[in-house]
Amino acid sequence: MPKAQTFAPWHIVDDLHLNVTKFRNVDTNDPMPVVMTELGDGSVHRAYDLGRHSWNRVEIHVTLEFSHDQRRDVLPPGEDANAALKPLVSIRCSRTKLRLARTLEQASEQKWEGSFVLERDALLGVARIKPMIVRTKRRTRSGHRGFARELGAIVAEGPASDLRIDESASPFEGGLYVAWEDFATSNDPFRRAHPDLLYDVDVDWSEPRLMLNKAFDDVHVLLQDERPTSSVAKSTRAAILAHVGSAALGHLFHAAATDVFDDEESGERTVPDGWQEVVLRRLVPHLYPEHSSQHGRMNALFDDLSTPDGRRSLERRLASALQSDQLDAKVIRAIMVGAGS
Amino acid sequence: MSPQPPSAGLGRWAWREAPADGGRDFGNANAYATPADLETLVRETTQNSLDASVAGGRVTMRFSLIEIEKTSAAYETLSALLDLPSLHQHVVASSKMGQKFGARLKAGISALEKSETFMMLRIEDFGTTGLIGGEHAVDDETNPFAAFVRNNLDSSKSTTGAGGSFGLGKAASWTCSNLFTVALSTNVAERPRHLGEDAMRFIAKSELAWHELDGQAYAGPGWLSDAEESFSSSWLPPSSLEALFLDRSNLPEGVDETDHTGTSLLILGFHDPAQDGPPDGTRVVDDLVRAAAANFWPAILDEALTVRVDHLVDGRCVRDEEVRPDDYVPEFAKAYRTYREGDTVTVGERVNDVVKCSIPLGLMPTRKDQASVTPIAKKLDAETHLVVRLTDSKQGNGDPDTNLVALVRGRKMVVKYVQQRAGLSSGFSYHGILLAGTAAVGAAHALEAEEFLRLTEPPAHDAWEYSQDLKGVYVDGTRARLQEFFRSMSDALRDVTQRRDDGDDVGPLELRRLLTVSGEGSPGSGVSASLRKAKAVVDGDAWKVGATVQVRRHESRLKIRPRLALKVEQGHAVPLKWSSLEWFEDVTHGVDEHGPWCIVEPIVTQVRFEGVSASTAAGIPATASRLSLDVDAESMIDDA
Repeated sequence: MPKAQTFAPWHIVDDLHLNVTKFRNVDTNDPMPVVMTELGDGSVHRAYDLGRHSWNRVEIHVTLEFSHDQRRDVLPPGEDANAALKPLVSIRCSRTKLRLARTLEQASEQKWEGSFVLERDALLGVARIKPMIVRTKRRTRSGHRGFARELGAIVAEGPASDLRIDESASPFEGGLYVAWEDFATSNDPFRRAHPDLLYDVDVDWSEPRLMLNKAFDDVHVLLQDERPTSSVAKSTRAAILAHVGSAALGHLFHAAATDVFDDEESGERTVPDGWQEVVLRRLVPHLYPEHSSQHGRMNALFDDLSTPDGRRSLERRLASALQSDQLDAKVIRAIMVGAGS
Repeated sequence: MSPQPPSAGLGRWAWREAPADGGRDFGNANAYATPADLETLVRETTQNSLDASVAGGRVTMRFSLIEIEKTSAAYETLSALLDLPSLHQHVVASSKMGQKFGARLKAGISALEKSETFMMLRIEDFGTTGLIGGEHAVDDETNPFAAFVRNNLDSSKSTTGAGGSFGLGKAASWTCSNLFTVALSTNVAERPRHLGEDAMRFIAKSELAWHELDGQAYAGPGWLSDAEESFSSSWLPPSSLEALFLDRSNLPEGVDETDHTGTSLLILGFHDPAQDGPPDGTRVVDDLVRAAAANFWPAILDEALTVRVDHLVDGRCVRDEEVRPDDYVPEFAKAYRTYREGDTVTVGERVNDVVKCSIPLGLMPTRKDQASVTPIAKKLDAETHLVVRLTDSKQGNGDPDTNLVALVRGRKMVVKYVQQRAGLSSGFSYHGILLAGTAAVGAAHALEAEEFLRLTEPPAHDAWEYSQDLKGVYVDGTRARLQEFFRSMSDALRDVTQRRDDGDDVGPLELRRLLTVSGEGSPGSGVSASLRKAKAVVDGDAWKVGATVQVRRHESRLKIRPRLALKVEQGHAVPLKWSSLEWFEDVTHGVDEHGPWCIVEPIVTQVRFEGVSASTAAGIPATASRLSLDVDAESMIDDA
C-alpha cells in the first residue's frame, strides 16, 4: 500500500520517454561517447557522465515518442493535437539556475526530435533534462471536465535524465569529495597548522571535502587497498574507516543542521538542496525511528533544532544514529576478525 | 539659535539650542556606524571624493599630516581664527555629560593638553565639484553642502555607481578629531555670481553632544559660521584661509588649474583611533599610504584617482609620497592590468597566468512599487568577472594577500578582501579579484548588478550581504541568489587553481559513499503508515481530499498526520495547508503548527479522514499543480 500518492488536477500522461541519441563536441565537431547509467524507475531514470570529457559546448540530440493513445488521454474528443500541444525538453541546472526549454519538431507520425547546445560555463554539478508536452493555446469550449484548459498547462511528462557535468558529480565516484594530501604542505592554513591530524572535514566549500593526511604513509597504503589479504589489515582498515566515517558524518550533520533556514517564499523551515539534504535524509531515519515518514522526521528534526532541550535530545539521538549508520553488526564483525573472533 | 559674541576670527561659533522637549542627544550615532580607524577614514573620504568627480574625470586626493608647535605664532593665529578658546569651553562642557561620548572627549582633551604639538590632518580633493548647494536642504531635495555640513544620514548621492549611499561616512572625519571638530574650505565649480573668481566657501563644524554652559543648554552641534548670518558658511579670499592650511593654493603635482575645484577638510586635534597615546606621525603616514593603496588600487590603476600623502612639521615638508599600488599590492595590480589589457586566459597552466572566468549573479525581479533601482521584470543573471593570478603555493605562504579575493564594483574601491582557501596542496595559490557591476568590462546586466550590490552594502561599504532593505526592492529569493553567487565563486576558484597535470589522490570509496542515500525506511522502528482508498479532486480553487490511513499493529499510541504538498517543476514540494479536516473515527484530534493530527490507540489499525485544502501555497494556486498526499505516524514513546 502506498505511503504517499500524487493526484493531477487534470488528465496527465506521465510515461513520456526521452531518448538521448547523440552527443557532439561543437568546437571540435567530434562525437562524444558519453557513458550512460540506468538509475531505475524513479523520477530520474538515467545519468550521462559528461564530466569525463573535455568540452566547452556540447550539442545533444534527443527524440521523443508521443503515441495516439497518449494524445487521446490528454485531449478531449475533437481537439487537434498538433494545434493545441507542443513537445519540449526542459533543461535545468539547480546550481547555476539555468532554465531552458527547447521545442521539438515532428519527425514522423508519433515521433518528435530536436537538438540543443549547452555551454559548459553555464552549468555546474548536474543538469537535468526532462520531456514534457504543454498546451500552446487555451481551450475555450466548455465541457470535458478533467482535461487541461489553460495555456502552458503540462499534459504529459516523463522521467528526467541527469547530465553529470563535473567529474566530482559523477555517479561512479560516490558523493563525497575525499582526497589525500600532506597536511604539512597544504594550502589550507588550518591543515598546515595541524600536520599531525589524520583527517579534516572541510565544509567551507559549496560541497564538503574530507581530506586525509598523506603523511601517514602506512594508513594511506592500508585505506587505498580495497581488498587487503591479512585479517589484521582487514580489521584495522574497517576500524579506521568506521571511526573516520562516524566523525565525518557527525561533522557533516552539524554543518547541514546549521544551514537549515526559513524559506522566505514558502515560510517553511527548509534544508538547502545540495549535500545538506543528502546528509539529513541519510541520518533522519536513524534519528527519528518513531516516525513513519520522511516529512515527519524532518519536522521532528526542525522542532529539536529550535530549542535547547531539543538540541540536547538530538545529540543523544545523533550518537545512536552514527553507530547505526557506521558501526553496524557487519562492521563490528569485520573489526573483530583481527582479534581472532 | 544661540550665537556667541563676535570674535577676531573668521566667524563666530553658533550652537544649536537644546530641543524644547528636553531630549538629550549624547553623541552622534553616525560615529558608531563605521569602524573608527584610519583605513575607514581613507575609504570614506576617498569614496566621497570619487563620487563627486567633475564629469567622471580623474580625482586627486592629498592627505597631509600637519604638526605645529603649540607655542608657535602659527598656532596662535590658527587658534584666533578658529576661536579655539570658545570652542574649548563647549568641548569641556560636553565632556562632563558622561556617557560614552563624554569619556571620549575627556580623553581627547587630556591628549591635547599633554602634547607639545597641535596635530591636524588635512584631506583635500581636486577635480571634484566641491561642496555645492545652498546652506540648507530645501523640501525633499538635498545637496552636497547640506548633506556634509548639516544633515545626518544624508548621502545626497543618486548615481548608480556611487560608492557611498548611507551618508554615514562623513562621521569618520569627526571621530578622528580629539575636539570632534572639522574645518573645511571648498572651491566650487559653480559659485554665486556676485562673488569673486577666487572666493572660497568656509565653515567649521563641531559634532558635540548635549551640554550646558553658563546656564544655557545646547543640543550638541555647533558651527563656526558667518559673523553676520549665524550657522551660514562664509565666502572668503584664499589668503584669509592660508593660516588654516585651507587656501588650496599649492596644487599637488600633476593637478593643473582646470582641476582646482574641490574641498579641503581639516581635522582639528587629529588622533588615530587605533593608536594609544600621541600619534606617531611616521606611522600615520605609512598607514594612510597603505590604506589608500590597498583599498583604491583599481581606481588608481584606471587613472581615475591619484593619491598623495605628505607630512608637514612646522611648515616644513618632511615627506611627500604618491601612492603606487605596485609597492603595496603588486600581485593584485598585475592581475588587474592583465584583465584591463585583455590578456587573461581561460585555463591557467603555470605560475603568473591570469585566468578570467564569469560568475553569474542572480538578480530577482524588482517589486512594482519600488523606485530605487532600474526595474527588472524577470529574474536575470548578471555577469561578473573573477580574475585569478596563479602563484606558487610555497612562495605564497609568506604573503598575507595570498588566497584573498578582492571584491570590487563600479566605483573601483575594494569593498572587501575575502579569504577563500585554495584547492589541494597540489594546486596553485592565487590572488583573486571579483569585478562586479560596472567594474566588469563589457559584462551583461552590469548596471542592474551595480545597483543591486550597492544596496547589499552596510554603512561601512565593506561587504555584500543580505539585508531587510532588499526586501522592499526585490521579490523574495535575493538571499539565496547572493549565497549562490559566493558558492559559485568558491567553486570557480577551486577549479581555476587546480593544476591540470595532477590528478587528485582520491580517497577510499567507503568514505566517498558517505554522501549517498541508499534508500528510505525506518530502521528498527516498525512504525508504518500507508494510505488506502485515497482520492483527491479539484473542487473550485481547492482540493477535496479523502483517505484511510492504515497502520501496522502497534503497541503504543500513534499520532497520525496527513500532509498535502504541491509538486512543482523543480525543487522541494511546496507544503499546502488544510483549510478543514474531519476524522471519521472516535479519536483524540487537534491542530498544531504542523497541521491537523489525531491520536490512535494501540487497538486501532485504520482511521479515515476527509478534508479540503487551502487555495494557495506560497503564492501558487493549489489547483495548477499536482497534489501530493502523504501521512506520518509517530510512535508516542518518549526518547524512542
